[in-house]
Amino acid sequence: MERLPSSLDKILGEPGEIEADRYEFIKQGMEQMEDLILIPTVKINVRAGEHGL
Amino acid sequence: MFTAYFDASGDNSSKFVVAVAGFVASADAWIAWEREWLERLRISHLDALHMSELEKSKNWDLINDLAEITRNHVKRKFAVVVVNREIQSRLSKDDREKLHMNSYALTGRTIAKLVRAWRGEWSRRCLRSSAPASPFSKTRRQISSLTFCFAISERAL
Repeated sequence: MERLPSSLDKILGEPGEIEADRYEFIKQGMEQMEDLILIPTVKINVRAGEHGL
Repeated sequence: MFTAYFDASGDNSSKFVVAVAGFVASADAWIAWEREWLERLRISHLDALHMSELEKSKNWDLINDLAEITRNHVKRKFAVVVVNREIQSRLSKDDREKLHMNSYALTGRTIAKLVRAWRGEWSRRCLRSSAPASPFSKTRRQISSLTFCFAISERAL
């Protein structure tokens, strides 16, 4: 940062580095993505004549 | 309306990092910035700025002036760095392929997310700041504020 003009430091906003917690977050997201695949187990039992069928 | 400009440095195969940095400013501010930027370059007999071709020790005045011109016009800066060996050690090759992820993509996605978050906060502030003085002005202010915010939303990314 010493090589940069100081006026750039005065602009709002923070430069950041991607750190370990971000990679953990990505990995958790991948695991959750697999959990979110829904396997339906509910059976719908509608008798003929009901609900206009 | 805001417009964001970003540039990247480094690449996925380099030993060190990929960095993406840029600024957000209104369209009008960018036009004024460009005029001043080009004028300052012209004084130094340059058509464009390429830092890799510039001898920095001899051009500090130019660099400082350009930084000051930028500071006077932009609203906010954004910068993200990914260390190449970090992403390689923390995400397996399989995971990286599954996510289409590399240093460049991660840097770009992160900075886009940061800008989106800032845009959201800015939009909320726009709505909060439209304090009404009368029912008529309230409606009018809300409409103009919303129009302004939607314009930002449409154009920011």
